[in-house]
Amino acid sequence: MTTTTIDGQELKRLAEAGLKWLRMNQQIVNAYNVFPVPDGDTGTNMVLTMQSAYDEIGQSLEKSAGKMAQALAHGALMGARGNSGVILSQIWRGFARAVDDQEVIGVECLIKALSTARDTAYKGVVRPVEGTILTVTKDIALAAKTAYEEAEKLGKTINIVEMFERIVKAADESVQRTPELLPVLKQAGVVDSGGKGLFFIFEGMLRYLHGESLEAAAVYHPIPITHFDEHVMDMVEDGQDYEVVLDFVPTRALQWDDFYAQLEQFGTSIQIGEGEGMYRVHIHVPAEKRYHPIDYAISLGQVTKVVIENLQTQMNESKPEGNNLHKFIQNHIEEGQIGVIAISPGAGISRVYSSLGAAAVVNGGQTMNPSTQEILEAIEELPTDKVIILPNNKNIIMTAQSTKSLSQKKIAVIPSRSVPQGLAAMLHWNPEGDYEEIIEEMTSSLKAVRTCEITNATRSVEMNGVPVKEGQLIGLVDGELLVSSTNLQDCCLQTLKAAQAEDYELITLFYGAGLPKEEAENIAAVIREAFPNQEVELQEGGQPHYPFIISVE
Amino acid sequence: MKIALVTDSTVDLPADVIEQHHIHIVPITLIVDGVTMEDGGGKNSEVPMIDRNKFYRDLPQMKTFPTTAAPSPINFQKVFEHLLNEGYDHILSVNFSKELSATVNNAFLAAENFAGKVTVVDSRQISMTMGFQVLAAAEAIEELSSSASLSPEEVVKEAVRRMNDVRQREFIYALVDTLEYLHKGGRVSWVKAAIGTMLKMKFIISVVDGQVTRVGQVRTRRGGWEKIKELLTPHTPFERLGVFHCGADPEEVNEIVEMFVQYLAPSPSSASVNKPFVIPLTPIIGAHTGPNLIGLAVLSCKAS
Repeated sequence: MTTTTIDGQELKRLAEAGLKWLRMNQQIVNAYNVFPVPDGDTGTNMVLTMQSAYDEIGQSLEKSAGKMAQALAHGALMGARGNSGVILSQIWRGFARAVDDQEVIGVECLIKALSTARDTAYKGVVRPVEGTILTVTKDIALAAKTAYEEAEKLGKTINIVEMFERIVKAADESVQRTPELLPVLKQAGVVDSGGKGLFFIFEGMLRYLHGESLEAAAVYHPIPITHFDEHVMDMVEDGQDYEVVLDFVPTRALQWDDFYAQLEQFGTSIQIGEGEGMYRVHIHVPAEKRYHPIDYAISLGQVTKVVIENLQTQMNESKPEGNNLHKFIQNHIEEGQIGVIAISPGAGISRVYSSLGAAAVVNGGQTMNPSTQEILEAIEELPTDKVIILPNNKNIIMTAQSTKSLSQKKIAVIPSRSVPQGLAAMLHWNPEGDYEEIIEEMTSSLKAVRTCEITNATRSVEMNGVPVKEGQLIGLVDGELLVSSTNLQDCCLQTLKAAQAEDYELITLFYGAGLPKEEAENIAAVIREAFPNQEVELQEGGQPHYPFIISVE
Repeated sequence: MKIALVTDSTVDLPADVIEQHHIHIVPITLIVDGVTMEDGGGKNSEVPMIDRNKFYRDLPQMKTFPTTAAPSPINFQKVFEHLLNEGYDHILSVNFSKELSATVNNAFLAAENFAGKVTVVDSRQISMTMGFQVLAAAEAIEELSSSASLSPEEVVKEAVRRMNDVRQREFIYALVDTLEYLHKGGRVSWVKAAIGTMLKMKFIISVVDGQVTRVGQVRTRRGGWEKIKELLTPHTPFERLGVFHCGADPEEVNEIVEMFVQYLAPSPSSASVNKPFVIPLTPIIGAHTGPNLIGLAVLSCKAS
């Protein structure tokens, strides 16, 4: 690379740097989730999206920046997960479109690319909201243009590194301003997570340009244990043989910088989760240092639990089909019939969709968000070209919609924001029905059912006048946080009351993975007693993070 | 001239209406836990008559699935003979769908012995919607029987024409809580596939082209009746309205009556009041649908 242009290989390294740095800091991004719920993690979704973009070009020796950009954009598009992932893929798409078939990206081209990225991102959102990743994209594009114009006025030229310095600074400032533009961010005391994620991508690129390390996290701070996810650090780095996860209770308050620094002597992929009076440490270590983290933790307090796993066997076992059960052809559909693809968060719920006639079920996996590609594969596998998708999660609607431009088939996305909504819609499906009529019926059926969701708060916050402590149980009614409680049974009862369940006929409880069947049955019995005029049905849902998803109709 | 109107006990019309129009009922037999009983029937019958509400209360506990026996051709023959001997010039027999029973076929076979004096019509319906057709025939007969210029065959022809017209304008829907009985009854082909659902479902069923069809599935009664209302709204107002049930809670039955009675057109003559019929469903059908069913039959004022 020269100081004034970026070629294909340079673009590849920049993308890699952006990805690495974002991955390093993804938990920070996740922690900025406005809603204190453990799914729809923006950071993880953006990492997975960038990863998919990078996977497309990782082995490529392409010198043309234009071709590299196209490939990156394609990878991002296919791997997009969650709303933030989809918008990120739109940013790449706009970027690639502007670069077109040019061999190198010069300063002027960069400015144009950022503007086009902004335009494409905004166009991709039905109702653009300021104070989000869109605003950051806008501010970056403006900063780039301004930097160039200022230099011109002074009769100077500006190089790529200087451009990136201005871009990153603008991104940072834009992210800090997001609470001013979006009141709900201010209320929750956070900045916009998608914007922060974008900032990290560009900051990573700048760190690369400056020759700075991408291995160390920007901030040393443990994340809430509800956000702790071992599988998120899924890469096996060279030289690392074992994964060590340990729980410990320190005798004294920890000095985080020292703690992290010490762990970095042992290995990589360090993640620290903070629970109630305890910490969970995750680290990858080489064989000869496999006990070092444990000894170190013992020296600081009491170690209560240790799990050591061989990374190689872990990798071998987690084959793509095994772990994620992406697509699941459930029911035979004839050509010309209407096939429904349901996105499901749990095995039990998948079975229910299957029993109702869903042609295919796509499992969202641990992040509960499937990628565009995963949904697309299910679409293409169906023998029919009349497809209806039920996303069943507000963070999956955009991902589902982006499949429309990627397939020749007729695709309609029913905007179901929860499993209960999706099931209500499913009942109106008729394989032989008129496509447009069925879509209309399924869509209007969404409002006939109320959704209650019970989960653990990932953050302390006050919402709708309800004070919530991190880790507490919270109850949401149709997406609104209305209840907090320290007890699962009580949370369920209160949430059902808040949903006015006594005015309805049928309460269906889907219990999550990790909740023993017996406990679920006990709670169902208590609910039956509390709501004697309602029918109460209990089904195994198998979903992660949510002990109960409840439909009230 | 005298024309006899004959139907079977599945017609589900109020007793006073049956008497008023001199409709002759051929009872259908049921075997309930080994005991032969009749669904409706003459006052002189030796076979005990079924108490319909009791039947639905007992249904879940019955050790064996109640079996129905269509009246044999001989049964019909006896009835036709008797009526012709009483001086009737012609007999019109209206029976329920041949897809659901051998009854109408047996009536056809019996009719062959009477050299054109017996006309048998497959109503393609059951219960109250068959009842609406029978009423239309009764009215035609009453209006035209005293006419000097018409032959009995012509009167019957007009009765049949009116029945055909009614058939185009009538609708029947019911909400079943469970497919268990339809499955046991074995007369409905789509039931096996539908049973696989893991969630508790209620099914809206209808009778179309003589067969029990599935209209939709819902999770709640309220959802089911809302859907039925949606389906019927384009066909309001109603000339006739009937609610049938399988021993359902009277309050619930009343709720349904209230929901639809607003669409019942006033009676054309000032002499009578147009009232909705409320009747327990004939157990001939009810044994196959199970208890607690509530259903609705309407005859639309609008031409089809």
